[in-house]
Amino acid sequence: MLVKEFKVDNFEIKVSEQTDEVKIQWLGRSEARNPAEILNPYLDNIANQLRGKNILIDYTKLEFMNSSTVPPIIKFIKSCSVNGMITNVHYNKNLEWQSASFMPLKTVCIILKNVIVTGI
Amino acid sequence: METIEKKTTADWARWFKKGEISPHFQPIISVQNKSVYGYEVLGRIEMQDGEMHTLGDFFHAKVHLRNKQENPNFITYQQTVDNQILRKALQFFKNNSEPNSKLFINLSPIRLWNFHKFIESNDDLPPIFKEVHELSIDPERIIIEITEEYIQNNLELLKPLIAIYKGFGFMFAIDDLGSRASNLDRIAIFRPDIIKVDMDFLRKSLSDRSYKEILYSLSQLGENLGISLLFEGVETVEELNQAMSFGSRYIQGFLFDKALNHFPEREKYKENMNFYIKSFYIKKHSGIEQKLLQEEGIEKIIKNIASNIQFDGSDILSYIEIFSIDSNFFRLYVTDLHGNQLSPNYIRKKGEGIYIEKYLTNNNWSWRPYFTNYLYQSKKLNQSWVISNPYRDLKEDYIVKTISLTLNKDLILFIDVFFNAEY
Repeated sequence: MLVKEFKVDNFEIKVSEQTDEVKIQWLGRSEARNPAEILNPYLDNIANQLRGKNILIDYTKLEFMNSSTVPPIIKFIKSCSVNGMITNVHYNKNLEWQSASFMPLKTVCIILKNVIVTGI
Repeated sequence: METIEKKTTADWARWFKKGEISPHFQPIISVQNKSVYGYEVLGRIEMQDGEMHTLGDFFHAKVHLRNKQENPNFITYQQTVDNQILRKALQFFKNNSEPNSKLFINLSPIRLWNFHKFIESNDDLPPIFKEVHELSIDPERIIIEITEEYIQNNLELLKPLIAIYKGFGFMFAIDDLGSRASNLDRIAIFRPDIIKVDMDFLRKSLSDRSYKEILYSLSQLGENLGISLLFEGVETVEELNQAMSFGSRYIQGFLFDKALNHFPEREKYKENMNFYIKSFYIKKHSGIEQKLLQEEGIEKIIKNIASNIQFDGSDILSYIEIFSIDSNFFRLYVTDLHGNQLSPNYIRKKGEGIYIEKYLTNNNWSWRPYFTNYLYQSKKLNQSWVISNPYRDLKEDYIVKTISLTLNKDLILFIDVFFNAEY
């Protein structure tokens, strides 16, 4: 697989191919002031390279993200949806900050095709 | 009909039955390209006799606070009317607006809060988001104006929801910043693209310097945070000039148009704007020329001070001669390059003569903005003197400016000057 991993300071995105889907796992803390600057090109690349595959975006192990991280996530999920990729998004519903961030995302993702956001 | 203060929900409902509500659109002009940037949606009702009324009184009515039995009826009724206007406005916008123009839609933070509160059981889209999606309007054309209502809840909790709106392309504006409820923390929470400033604030700035200083700070804040200022309620060319002086990127007000039942053409105001901008430039240009003349005057004064200064390491021996140069000088002192005060304060009070405050020796002034400004300008521009922006002196409660003058490479003379001095 051509997709490289992403690591900046204490923040990491690992990509691994499972039997029936590609898992994109977010780890650590996304605290950059303008994360879109570095995340958008990386995630655009993933969305292009994984076209046609099913993906699981796993936030359950993410320790923290600031609100500026949300727009790049939405941009990525929208691209996956437009590319016809079946996209599962998992978050940890027992973590208060994750529920606060992903519940609104879950609500609005009903307008996107093939995207399912689930609290695990 | 009851007076507005006494109206019940039923009174309002009867009133609405006598007319038809419709959205109106007030154009917002971009100073940058002199054309219409967008339109703010404002509710109107046309009565059977053809008379048109605004819905401001209805939306600001607090029926539910006066009579608890009316709650939540009145709020629900307000939201129903609001939704009718919103849907009609969006439909009209979709069918009739020029591409790339924006629509400003008011949204109470209370509605956002109510959505957030029930988000776990809610399977509906957030307010405005839902209507924009259903009509397939590009969210990037929508600017949500957060209204100034006071809300007791912790708005910080809305940040994730705001981030979702932004992620889908919606922009935010803070309405009427500076009013009672729109506290500055709304800037941090909503990270708005635009701050709307009411002209009342600017009008107050003409008679009260505090308002003026707040506007300068707001202008600076906008610059630093990448937020554009929009002055609303602009009625005269003079007010437009003032708004532009504070860096207003967008203008809204009767100077251009009232709220209309259609979208005026984007270039409708261009000719007027060309004229206004030209007169603004001429005014600014003459201001700069006046400033240059004033600076020439200061140069002469500085030379006079430099030839009169006598400092023995702890006392300004020639303070009387320095005070005699300009009657607006009211305080002198000397510091080293680290801001440590070496001399006493020499203070002139009108009608009381000059007195010396010796106890201030060894105070440090490096934390004052004028000191940093002096260090920066004297190093970068190699200037031997610098004059500060006006500020309010904490001790004397006057508006003052400070002249900082390099005495030699180790010493700085500070002269506090009344603001009304001609420089």
